[in-house]
Amino acid sequence: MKTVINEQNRRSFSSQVESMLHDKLAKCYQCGKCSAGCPVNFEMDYTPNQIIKMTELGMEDAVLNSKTIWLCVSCNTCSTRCPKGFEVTGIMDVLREIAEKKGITSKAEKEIQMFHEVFLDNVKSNGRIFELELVGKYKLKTRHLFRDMFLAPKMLEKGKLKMQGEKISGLNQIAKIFKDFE
Amino acid sequence: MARIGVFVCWCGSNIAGTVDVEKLREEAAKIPGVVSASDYKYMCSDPGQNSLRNVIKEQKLTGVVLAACSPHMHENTFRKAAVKEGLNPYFVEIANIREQVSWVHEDKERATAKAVDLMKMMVEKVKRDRPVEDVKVPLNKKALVIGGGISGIQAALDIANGGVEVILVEKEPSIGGRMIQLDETFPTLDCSSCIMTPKMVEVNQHPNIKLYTYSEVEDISGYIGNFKVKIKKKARSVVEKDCTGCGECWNACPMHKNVKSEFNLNLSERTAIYVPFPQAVPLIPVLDRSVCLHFKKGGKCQKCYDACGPKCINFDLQDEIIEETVGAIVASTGYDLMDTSMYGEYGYGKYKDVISGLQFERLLSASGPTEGVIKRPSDGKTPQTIVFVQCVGSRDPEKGVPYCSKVCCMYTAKHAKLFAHKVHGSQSYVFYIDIRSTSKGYEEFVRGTMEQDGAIYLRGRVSKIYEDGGKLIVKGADTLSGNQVEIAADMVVLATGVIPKKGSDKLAQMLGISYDKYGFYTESHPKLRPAESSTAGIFLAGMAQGPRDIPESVVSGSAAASKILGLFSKNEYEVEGTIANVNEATCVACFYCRRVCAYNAISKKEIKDRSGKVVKVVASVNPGLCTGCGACVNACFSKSIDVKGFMDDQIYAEIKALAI
Amino acid sequence: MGKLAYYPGCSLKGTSFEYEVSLLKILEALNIEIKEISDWNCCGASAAHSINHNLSIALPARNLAIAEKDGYDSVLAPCAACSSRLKNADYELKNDDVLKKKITNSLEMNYVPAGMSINNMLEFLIGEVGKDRIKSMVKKPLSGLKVASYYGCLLVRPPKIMQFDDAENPVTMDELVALTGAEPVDYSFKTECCGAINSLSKPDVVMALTGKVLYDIKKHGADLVVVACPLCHSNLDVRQREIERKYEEKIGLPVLFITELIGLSFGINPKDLAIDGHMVTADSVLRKIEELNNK
Repeated sequence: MKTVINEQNRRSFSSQVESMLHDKLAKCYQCGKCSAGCPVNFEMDYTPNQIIKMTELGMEDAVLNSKTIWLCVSCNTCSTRCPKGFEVTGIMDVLREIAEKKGITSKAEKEIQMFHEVFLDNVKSNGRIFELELVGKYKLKTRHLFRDMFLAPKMLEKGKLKMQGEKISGLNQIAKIFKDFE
Repeated sequence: MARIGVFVCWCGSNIAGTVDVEKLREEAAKIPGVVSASDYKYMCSDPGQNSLRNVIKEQKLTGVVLAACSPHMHENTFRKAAVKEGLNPYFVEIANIREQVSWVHEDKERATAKAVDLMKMMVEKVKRDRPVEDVKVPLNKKALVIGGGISGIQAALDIANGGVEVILVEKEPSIGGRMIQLDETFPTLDCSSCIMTPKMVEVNQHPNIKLYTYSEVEDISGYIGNFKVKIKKKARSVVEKDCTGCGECWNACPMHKNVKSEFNLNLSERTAIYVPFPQAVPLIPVLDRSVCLHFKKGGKCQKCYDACGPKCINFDLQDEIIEETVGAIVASTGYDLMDTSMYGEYGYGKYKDVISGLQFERLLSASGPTEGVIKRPSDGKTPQTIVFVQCVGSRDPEKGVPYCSKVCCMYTAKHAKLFAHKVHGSQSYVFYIDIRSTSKGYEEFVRGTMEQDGAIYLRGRVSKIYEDGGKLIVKGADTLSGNQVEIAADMVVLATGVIPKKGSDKLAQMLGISYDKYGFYTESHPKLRPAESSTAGIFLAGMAQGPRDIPESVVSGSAAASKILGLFSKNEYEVEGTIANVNEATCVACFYCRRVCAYNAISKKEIKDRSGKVVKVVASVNPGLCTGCGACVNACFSKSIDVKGFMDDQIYAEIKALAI
Repeated sequence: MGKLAYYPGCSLKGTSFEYEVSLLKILEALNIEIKEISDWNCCGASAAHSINHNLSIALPARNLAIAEKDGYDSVLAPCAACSSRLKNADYELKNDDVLKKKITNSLEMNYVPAGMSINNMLEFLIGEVGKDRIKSMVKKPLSGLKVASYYGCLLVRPPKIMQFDDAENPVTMDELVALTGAEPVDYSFKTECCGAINSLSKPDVVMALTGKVLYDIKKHGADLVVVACPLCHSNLDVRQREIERKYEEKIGLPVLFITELIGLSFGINPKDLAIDGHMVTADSVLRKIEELNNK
């Protein structure tokens, strides 16, 4: 790999991330404790500490198209153990948000991204999550129609799948929140 | 009539770049009383000083103002020049137009205006200067060294060899400190006790050293040349002069499996009456009353007494307070390791085979709990794989301390090396962030650990350690290959960060010396006065000042000693004359001044008539302690205190000069 | 005890209904009254903070603002994800005035951060209810039962916001287990992540993580696992059969909510605690309890 650093792009990307993160990228001294403890590191294309360094270097495309930012489950093990108190979990949130706003669809991990999107759609239209509808829409969108279907009969039998969802009465307020912040 | 000379220094472009020095000179010449105003490129240079002397002589100056750098820099230089022309040194005043003007301002016009103001103030002050004489304080030529580790021992020996009496106070039952706990030392691998014990014995035998072990400094008062010290000699329950150190007592003690050995960092047990290690100096046991059956069970057990040939065990001995007067003090209180149990993810304290670097030293040491055979604390087996984790607590502002503990890179390389030497076919892994190996022979030493002794270094921190099937699973990162790494280890050694010795902050408060936010003692100047504390007569040595290795600790001990020998080479110590002065006629003895004095410099003085009857009580200033800070001046209701050289009329005149 | 608000969250009304049923049952036994926050909405869970920070604060903030308006002193959010999001929102609103203004403007409601205590299930039981009160209700001590407490991520991390227990070695749930008379089992992965929200989108990853936790618990000899998080429960319970098949090793560990275990020790009928609602049957546990009681 080779990266030619473009000073202007480097500054604009790293400062965008820093202002959303309320933290300084330079704080990270690359000890790697985040990557050492990350439960999903084994699936990632870049380790968390690499993502931080790449962001500092302005490697915007590589970072925003990485699997890593979507694989992160926000378990906060990294931030909790970070000796510098750097917001490692936070930077993943920030990078996902930038990717989402830029309309970048993760190639390798689009299911995760779609799940978040479908989830929020569900909140938007009901105010609460209607699990059956959420799962159905997610499956339609990802076309993984039959994945996990074997679980359904037993879950139904146990009473875990409600056939009817609830809608809250303050839906107009929810609509406003989404309008203001989406 | 005042005849004042004003000298404006350019300091090259340091001042002249921002301040219009010619304008400043012209303004000076306009002030009434100023008979000479000049400017020069470097007033501190020989020609600069000569011109100062010439003008003093030719113009018969009564006062001098230098518009130049901070008085911390060259006040002394100019005073000495003035003294050579017969002027009182306190008739030299400095307007600081560098640190307070040119270095902190950019706008030349406004900077010049400020410089003019400062200069005018000093002219008005110097017009009102009265001669001030320095105060001479007598010196008690005896030194106290607090802490008997390698730096304290070095200081004590150097002072004693210089012919000065030394009192060495050590809290533990033996001197030797941390160094005597170590096995071999980097980078030469000489055995620590082999090079340390001769020094310890020398201390004990030295005619100029009085050694108090198992003793603590209880109280200190006084000032340079004249410190009064109270030392608490804790009851040893052993009559020291009769004890031969034969060991019959500790062999007879029934408490041989119950008490953890502090010296072996809980890796072995000791008896209630014990010496911490076989080469202890002095080789006189201490009876730990908190665990001794005699004290716990109402005097029934006296097996040690029965076994003792010279019958020197005395259960009734009490703590003793010893009072000494000394002229100078060395604070060399050493360090502790951080408590790493706060790293729940590393399981220190939970898993027996996760140990600290110092504990590993004890496992390596021939006089240690395993007689130098590396054995796991959990089951006594010899480990084949050890993982070393560096920077545990150090460089961790979140849970530990932000600073680097300095010695860990080197001792970890040493540990890995010695492990390879002692256990053939073994493997060590070292997790590090950066390797710091900057002294002579250090880098080569670390390279050798990797290249000759086969230690694998991984650049990254460890996130978690847990037990699985009798192994410790170490989950770390290697940031160079970009991998998460798991290693199944038999033992894990944490390179734990160093912190100041517990209680060293209390001692600092007693001594009146300053320390940083971590508790390390601060030097009077970090570069130029590294052996001096913030208080005159008190010197610093060893790890009490911050992380350092053995050679540096030895150097610092010697530095403190040479400062003390230098101080004691004169019979008196000169203190600046700018100290508080009480007008006894107007003092009403309210002693508010005493309450605000941070240096304990004010006492009550009784004025008696001829018959010896007390007619008045007044405040009295101890010149050895007073720093001239002026707090008492503000506190005095009856306006009876002044600081010499800073009298009220001078201060008012300065303010007035500013107002015009 | 002040006025207690109850924020159930979506899971407790759906796949984790057992949690709500058992929780309400034990509070009834303890004679403690809680009230659902009126017209509460979804906290946004992991999805909102993953892709839209403002939304992840605004959604929980609406619930907090309603609770404040209705005069509650304390909110119980039994779902670990919900309590985490509520605490996060409260924390950010407290520390970011600009954001607070944006959010309250959008909500058209006021909210004073840090005015209410936000409790997860364990905090609520230890703090609001109290150990003594729980202990006094234990009618059928579960002595002899070996129970592993699984905390997962969201109860303890990040510690500066959660302000709950020790982030590496939490003990609160173990203490509650001990109150029921059961024996807490120590193991290595109390706070390792189960894979959480990626259950549907990355089932293989989730099974790897959850499997690691379950096999470790099994190895340490527990009869069952207790949790205080619907997401953890779902991964440990619903996915367990699949994990057994994938790694070809039986686990057979019933996963109960802590409220169910406490309910059992109170002598409440297992059916009333919805213990039959789990995918991994808890019959083995119930049988063991009977056997131990008969001894």
